[in-house]
Amino acid sequence: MNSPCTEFRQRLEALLGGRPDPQSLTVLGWHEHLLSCEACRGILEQEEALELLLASLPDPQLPPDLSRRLLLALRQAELSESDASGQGALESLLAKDEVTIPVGLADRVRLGVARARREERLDALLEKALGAEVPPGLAQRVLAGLEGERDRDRPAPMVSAGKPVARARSMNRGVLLKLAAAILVGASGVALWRGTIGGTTDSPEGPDRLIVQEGDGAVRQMASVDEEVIEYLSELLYWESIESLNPIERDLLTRLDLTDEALLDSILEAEGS
Amino acid sequence: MPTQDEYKKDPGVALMLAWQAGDESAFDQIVDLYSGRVYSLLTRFLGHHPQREDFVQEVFLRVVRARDRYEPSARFITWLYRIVFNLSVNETERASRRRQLSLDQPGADEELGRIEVEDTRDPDPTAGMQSDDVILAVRSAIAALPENQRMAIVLAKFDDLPYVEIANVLNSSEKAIKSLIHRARETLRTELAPFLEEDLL
Repeated sequence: MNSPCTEFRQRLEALLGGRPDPQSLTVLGWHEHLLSCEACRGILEQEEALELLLASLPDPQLPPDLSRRLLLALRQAELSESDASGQGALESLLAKDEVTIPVGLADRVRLGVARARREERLDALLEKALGAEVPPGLAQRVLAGLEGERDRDRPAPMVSAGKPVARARSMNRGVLLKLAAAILVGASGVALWRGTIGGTTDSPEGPDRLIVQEGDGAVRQMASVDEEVIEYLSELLYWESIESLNPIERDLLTRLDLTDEALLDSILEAEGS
Repeated sequence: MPTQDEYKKDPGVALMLAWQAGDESAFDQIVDLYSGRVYSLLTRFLGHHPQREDFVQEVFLRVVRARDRYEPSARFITWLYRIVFNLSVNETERASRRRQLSLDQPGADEELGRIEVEDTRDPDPTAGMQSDDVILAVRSAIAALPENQRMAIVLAKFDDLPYVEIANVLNSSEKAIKSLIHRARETLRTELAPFLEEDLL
């Protein structure tokens, strides 16, 4: 393209910004360059025609009452995003709206919100409920205790069997077995749940440490460790008195009030004993 | 480049800041002032999409969500149109994926995301000599432009936005916008060549 063409087309483009205005281009029709350049004359004619076409496009028709309906829709959307009892910023604004809101609309929206957030709330509830059942650091203490006990030779069963009087609460033996199992199953359940659903946390004291400590393949190993733990405590309680338990094991069991029959019943029932 | 204080003179920015400061009625005015422009832009950009009123709602929902963190860095309409553009592009991409997925089921989902230019003619007594066919042809040609070109030319020709503001909407440079519009016009001249003959106008 030669220089006069470039100059002409730059002038043309400068007039093409903004709303379609074919009239603004007519002044260029007198440009002397057009006398000698058919290409630029053709471009100008096409651009004029295009401007005319664009100018002829009708404006989109706005739906009637757009703003009002929009505000109502936004109100519902905001309700959907807030808690069931939420009072949003638009709430007070739209309270002034004269449009009659369908009866029960708020309830239906809240119901929808509740459904939509069911999973989220379930997670929060589970975390709260299960987290409250497990004493802080329980799993870590159990594991720490096991580290020492695993390496120690266990007493021969016959030796312990000869000391039945040492049992502090013989009537609770079976209960204790189940209780220990129940607590450990509960603890492992939380650890598994956090590991597989909730993810690990940064807390070094939480049940998650069970999984962290066990390294790769944690979930599978966790189950294996739990079986060992339960089996170990079961054997221990069967052959040993409660006084012979080490502090960690005793701590585990004494956290519950064993005289509270209602508590025992509920735990055993919950664990399906 | 205008300063933040200068932007505060913009009516939309002033309303947004007033709303941010607790004047709840300011949002009402924002919707009154700008919902029509958003609707028009969406209609021109997406065509007569059956869900464009929902998109308008989504645009203002994003305004609601941005209330606390809003800071004037442009004219309000520019900021608002940036939301419109991002939403529109997302919708176009989503519609494209849906069409890909529904290739095995012809007709299953094809009305969603397609730029509607058929059977939605606005009756316009001022259209004069322009026939419906010509209007449809122009709309179709605009709809077939790449997104950036389409938004640039729609904002320039129908919203009278200066190139520098279009650049802001498209997160681009003014020079790039000029280039986009130049290419868009070239394409339109080619596609609409039968309608640009002098004796038809």
